[in-house]
Amino acid sequence: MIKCSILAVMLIVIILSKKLFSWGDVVKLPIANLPPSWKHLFGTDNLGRDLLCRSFIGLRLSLLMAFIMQVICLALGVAIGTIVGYFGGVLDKIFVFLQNVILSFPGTVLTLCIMLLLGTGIFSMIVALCIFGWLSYARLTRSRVLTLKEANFIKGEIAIGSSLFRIQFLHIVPNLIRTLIPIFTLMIGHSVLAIAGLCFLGFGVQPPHAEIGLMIQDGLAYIRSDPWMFIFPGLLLACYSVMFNVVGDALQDKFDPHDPVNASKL
Amino acid sequence: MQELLQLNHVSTAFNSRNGLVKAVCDVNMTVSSGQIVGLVGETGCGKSVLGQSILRLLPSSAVTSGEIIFEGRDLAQMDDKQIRSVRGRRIAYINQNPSEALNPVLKIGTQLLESLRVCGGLSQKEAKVRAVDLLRSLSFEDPEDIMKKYPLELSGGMKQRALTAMAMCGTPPFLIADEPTKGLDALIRGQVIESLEKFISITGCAAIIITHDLKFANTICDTLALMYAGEIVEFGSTGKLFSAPKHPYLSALKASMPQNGMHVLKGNSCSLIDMPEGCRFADRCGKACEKCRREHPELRPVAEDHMVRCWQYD
Repeated sequence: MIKCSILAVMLIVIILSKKLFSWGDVVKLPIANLPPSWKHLFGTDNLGRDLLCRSFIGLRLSLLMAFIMQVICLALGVAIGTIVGYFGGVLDKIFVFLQNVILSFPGTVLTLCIMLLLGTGIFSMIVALCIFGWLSYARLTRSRVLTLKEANFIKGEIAIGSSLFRIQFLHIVPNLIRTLIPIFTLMIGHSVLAIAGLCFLGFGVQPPHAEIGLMIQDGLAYIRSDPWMFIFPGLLLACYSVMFNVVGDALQDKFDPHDPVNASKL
Repeated sequence: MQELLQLNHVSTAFNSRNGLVKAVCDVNMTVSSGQIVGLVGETGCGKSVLGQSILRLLPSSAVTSGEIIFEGRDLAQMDDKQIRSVRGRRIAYINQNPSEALNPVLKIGTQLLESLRVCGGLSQKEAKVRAVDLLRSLSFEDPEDIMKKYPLELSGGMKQRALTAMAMCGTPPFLIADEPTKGLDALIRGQVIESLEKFISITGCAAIIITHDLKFANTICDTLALMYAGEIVEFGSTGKLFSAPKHPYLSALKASMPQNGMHVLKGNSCSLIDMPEGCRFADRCGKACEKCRREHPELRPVAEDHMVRCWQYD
């Protein structure tokens, strides 16, 4: 419960960051490169912008992209996984083959290649990340559906004459939620890092937009004289990513009904 | 009496790695309206497979042949849409194992209303009223409250009654109940029998009750079909089968009942992949002779309403 509350507070700060912190995201050359102080907790960057404010605004963009990307992946993955798992046969063989092909590529390299083809920008970054992202949901969904479709209540559902559509959406998909929520949380943490990484490399978001990976990259130029310029944004990014992982893990334990000890935690 | 369901030479086999598993072989049976037929036999003798073959609920590895005539139409020949209109609306099916037969993530009300809307074609409002009536008729004291609960909040007997209510939704003229008392304790078994009796008396339907509980079969069924290794070996009215069992297997089963001293029948049922040439029960039968091992017996009448598959009565 504590972990969830901490994450919730962190998320609220991020959501409100446009309102809370926009005062600091202004170029003020006279106060450039200030070290951390009470007035500017994270210090200021080379253009005099408050780093604390800018980090939050930057992280907001990364999280938003991560969220959109994961929602797309979730929808795609669940749809494909359910269909493949339920009907099996040739579809299933094609899916397993496709999965093996995609998994055998080194992820980052392929993402970069796709981004080179599509050009830099937010949209192409989301597309490139989705090409990998849906697979983890689809695999999980498929394996759950394989066991679910043999379940007695699905047989009962067939026996009352329900249509396939009804069985899929009313009975199979709700049973997947328990499995998918923890993964979704975990994957947001992962994809924030991936997005920041791509931006760090110069793909994705372009300046002057604030984005956390981009800010870390900006800070690198001042690594000797003003190290706070990359240390603090980096730490903030790490905090959020760790928090998503921790909560994802806790949710996984919570939703696993086989272990009563874990169910009481969170 | 009017014939409702007629099985002609129904066989079901499963493709497996070791060969064709012949789970049900050449079953012929008729069920008239209002008749309650019990399918009894040991585990793995094909009773559940036969029940599920009728509604075509088996996985795609199963191959069913023969005619399943229900209300003049052959279920085996129907396409998916036609069979769906029979399932639930004309033939209800009560799953074995009530704790797994309800969707764990949906409320009882949601599932019951769904059945009512699918089978009964009712609107949401009508369905709600009907659902409360149904639950009350199955002696739930507070139906509204039950509908808000999840399956895990219900006891085994309550789940069974909720399932019975779901099966009653389409007021079908025919019911297939697959091992309704399996794995239940005596108290819940009593409730289940009660709910099934209520179902039958309220809807006035005919039924096939699949069970390995002879005592239960004796109380509820008026006709019994005894199965062994995929075949019906004895068929007749319950009273006759219990008072004068003909097939050695039925005698052995009766001797194995707790109140008769629990004399366990030795040996195992024959393999369903390579069947013996002669009588399938011969290896475990005390009275088996040379002919039993050589030739396969047919199901023959020995008295009125009583048929046996055994060379002894030839």
